[in-house]
Amino acid sequence: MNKKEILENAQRLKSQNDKIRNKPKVKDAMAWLDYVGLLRNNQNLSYKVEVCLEDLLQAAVIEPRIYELLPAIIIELKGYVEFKKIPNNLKQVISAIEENSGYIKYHYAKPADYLQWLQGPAIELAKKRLNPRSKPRINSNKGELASLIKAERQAMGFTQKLFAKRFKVSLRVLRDLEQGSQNVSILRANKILNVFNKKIDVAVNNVISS
Amino acid sequence: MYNNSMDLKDIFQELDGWVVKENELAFKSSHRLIKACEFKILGQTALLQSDLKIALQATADIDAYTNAEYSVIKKLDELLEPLGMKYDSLSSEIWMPEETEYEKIYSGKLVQVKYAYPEYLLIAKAKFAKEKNRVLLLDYLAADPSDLFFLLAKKYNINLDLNDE
Repeated sequence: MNKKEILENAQRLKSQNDKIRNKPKVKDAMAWLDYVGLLRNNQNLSYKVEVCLEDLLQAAVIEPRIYELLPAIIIELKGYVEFKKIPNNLKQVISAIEENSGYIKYHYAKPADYLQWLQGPAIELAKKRLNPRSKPRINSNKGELASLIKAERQAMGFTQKLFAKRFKVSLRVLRDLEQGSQNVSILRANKILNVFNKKIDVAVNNVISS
Repeated sequence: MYNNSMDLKDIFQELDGWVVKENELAFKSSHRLIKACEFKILGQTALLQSDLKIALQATADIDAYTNAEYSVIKKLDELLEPLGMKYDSLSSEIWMPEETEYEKIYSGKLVQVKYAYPEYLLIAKAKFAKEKNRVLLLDYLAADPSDLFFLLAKKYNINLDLNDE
């Protein structure tokens, strides 16, 4: 193929991939993977809903790195993703891992590619971000707001900058709140607390679960 | 567009500060000093930092050529852990074109960090992991690829026919 043919062919094939990429469920899957920290992306997709295995498998068609992650997601994140029908080839991989023998290739992923995600900081971070029970429970009043926000943010495994970027909140407001500043409006504080499903109840001026 | 370059720069800045501090202590107690080191970031992490206007994804491992000592890599992993990331200890096995150019993104007292330019990263992927990166390469080719990419493809005898095999 010459350069012109290569470019034309790429345009044609890309439009096929874009159809998959633009499916809402595929976008949701990408956003979820980014949120849990297993697969970062540059598309600014906001995490809205839980995903199921079918969504992840569809997304894997355009991002094969997901095949590397699926065994770890199924084994380590049980309960967070729905696994109604596990395809046979994936079932075989899971069995091999559970029996610790007979490892096989899964799509493009060699055993070393998928085994690496079964433990380590990425999967631990995903568990932290998905399990609200792992977050500290602080019965906070206004004076404890700083430590509450800091503890919740750290429990989710975010730096201040990444948290602000990911949840589209002001970095300055976040810093001020974590430093105990009282000079932040309740509206702005609630925008941050909303990430943790909490809010300041104006009537009692206390943080409550929302 | 979201990228994690800010966080990575912060991490390497912190790493540089740690090395400087360790060396101050080592100097006082006449212990061996940690040598200055360089990280050349490769793979998807480097692509995510580029200004390519295509959809990119990266797993949580960081590929990088480095001459850093074990203690520095261990500290880097400690700093990456809260972000769910880790340094890929097999990075030295990654093939890159011999003429690969890098952009310096952080220059500390004892730690330097560079990112490989995207054309070289994509050529490495096209040469050794074409099927896995088929969609990525298609996206790139459909989005105004550079002449450098085609020159490298010719030099390394890479077939850019990306039809399903």
